[in-house]
Amino acid sequence: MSKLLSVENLKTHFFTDKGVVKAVDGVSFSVEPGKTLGIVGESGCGKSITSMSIMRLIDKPGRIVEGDIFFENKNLVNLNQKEMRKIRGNDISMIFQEPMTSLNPVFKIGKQITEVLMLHQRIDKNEANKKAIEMLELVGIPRADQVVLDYPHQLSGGMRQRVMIAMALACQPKILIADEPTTALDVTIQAQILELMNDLKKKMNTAVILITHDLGVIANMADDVIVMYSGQVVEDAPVKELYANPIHPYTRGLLNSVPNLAEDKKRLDSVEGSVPNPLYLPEGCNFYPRCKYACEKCKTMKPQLIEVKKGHKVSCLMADSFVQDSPLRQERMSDNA
Amino acid sequence: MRIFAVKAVPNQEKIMGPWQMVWSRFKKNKVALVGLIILALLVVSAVLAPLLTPYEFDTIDTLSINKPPSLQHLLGTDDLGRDYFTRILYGGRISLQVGLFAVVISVILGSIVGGISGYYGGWLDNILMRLTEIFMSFPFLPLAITVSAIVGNNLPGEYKMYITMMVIGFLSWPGLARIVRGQILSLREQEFMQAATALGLSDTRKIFRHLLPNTVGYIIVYATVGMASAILTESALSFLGLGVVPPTPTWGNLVQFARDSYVLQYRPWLWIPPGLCIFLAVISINLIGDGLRDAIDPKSQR
Repeated sequence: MSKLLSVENLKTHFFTDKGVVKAVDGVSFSVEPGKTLGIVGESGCGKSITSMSIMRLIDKPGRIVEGDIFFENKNLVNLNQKEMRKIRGNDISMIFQEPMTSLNPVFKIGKQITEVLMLHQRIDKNEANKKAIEMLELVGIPRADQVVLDYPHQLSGGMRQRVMIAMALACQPKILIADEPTTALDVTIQAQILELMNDLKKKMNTAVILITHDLGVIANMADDVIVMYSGQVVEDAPVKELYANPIHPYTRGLLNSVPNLAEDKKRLDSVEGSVPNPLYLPEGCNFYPRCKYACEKCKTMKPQLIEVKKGHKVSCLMADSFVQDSPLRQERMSDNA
Repeated sequence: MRIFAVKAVPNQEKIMGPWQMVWSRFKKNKVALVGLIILALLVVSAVLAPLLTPYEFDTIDTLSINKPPSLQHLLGTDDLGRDYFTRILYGGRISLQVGLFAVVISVILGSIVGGISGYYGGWLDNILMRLTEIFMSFPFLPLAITVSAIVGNNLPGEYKMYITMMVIGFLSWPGLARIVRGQILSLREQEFMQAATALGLSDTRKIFRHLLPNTVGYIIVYATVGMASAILTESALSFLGLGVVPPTPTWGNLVQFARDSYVLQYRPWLWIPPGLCIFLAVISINLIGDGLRDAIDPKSQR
């Protein structure tokens, strides 16, 4: 299938006083029109920086040092600020984590939505106003014609996140990047927002890049998933394949740590250890200090992302052995025993 | 069985915009309200000057020189027989105008410099802030005197008013520039600014349409207090003969009569009323400024 966005070997580094932080170090993936790509990983693994790099929102001391981001025959890495502004909010738009602070407190809701519309679509104020109300209705805000006259502080968190989504979708972008869109919301609102995003995705055929650390959300929403660890993609697979046959030890650790209602356990499983300091990454595989299956060569050799099955890529030196005898299954068996 | 239709209850609660909130808090501050009333009276009387007095401010009547207050001349006449009440009304026009426009100039300069400086940071911020500091470290009055003396000397009297405005305006922006810069430094890190960038807004738009409106509270407070000091400075310059010069009246040059010790002793109607006007204008504006500061400051929310 044709690719809408393809990120190739993206490297975004931060040049701090203490040294170079390789926040994103050689990430590649692609997004197809109308599909949802989930990016998972724990805090600090470079999920957000990846999405910010696509939008070219990286500020000093950070910089995209290498790699390409192809979007509709354009390489976003090479565009100047002016060209980039035309893409932001129009072709690619973004929803942020914190709905409480992502709206400008001094402007009415309507004004904030119409501003984007007038900027990118060159329509007049009346039309923009109508469109803004339409968008608010679309995202399920009641009495939208009055809400446009409200200030952000008069809305609840869920409402504000809906407004953010309305703003992001106002220009019918081809890609919507949602950076943990539901972390700040409570569970019921979370479910509503996710359902809404799914709905809108179908209606507008927008591709979604969903960034989260919630594996449940990914299972519900995504078509494809990439798992990130320490600035690198460790596993890339269609969602069903990933949940059925996780290969990378880290992915398996993540999936094991999800509580299961059927099991009676005192403690949840966790991935031992913590994320390595991005300033001092291990020489070999980034994950080997925490990996149960690490062997000698893991300490010195960097694994590459290779396709082990059709559509399923893993970056692990031991991947082959995992695919064959599937230690996960054995692990589960021993757990149950 | 009867089914009661549940009617959607229309939203009765009146939604308050930020300005309505400020006003409702301002209203509670009686002192500030008194200031507002005094200032309103002064402004109205200055605006309606032609309707309030039958005389022109420069009509010379040699037959009634140095008359004390009477029904015909409410505040008497000066040494050229001009109606003094009229001159004070018209003087108010000039004084208030100079104060207003000086503040407008300094607010425009201050917000632009502060906005750009705070938003871009780095070397640009450094240069602009050092420039601001240079402006701040000039002794204000001597410089204002020098500038208006040099520039103003070659100009006809009626333009001196504009020179005075500009001198005051161009010398009083640094304070505001620093306040705005400080605010914007913290505002630009807010998430809604990142969201604004993600929506494809340009830098100029972000600074002037999104960041500056967030600092408007501070700007307004600064402007009110700045206007009071601009009026004072104008009076001082005019009193020294370096601001607005006669025959154009301002409160400042009307007080000039007090330089004559005979007038000071025997014709108090020539210097008390304009002095009182300056005093009332400055104190009322300061009271308003204080009231606004409390009303706008979100921490004073009750």
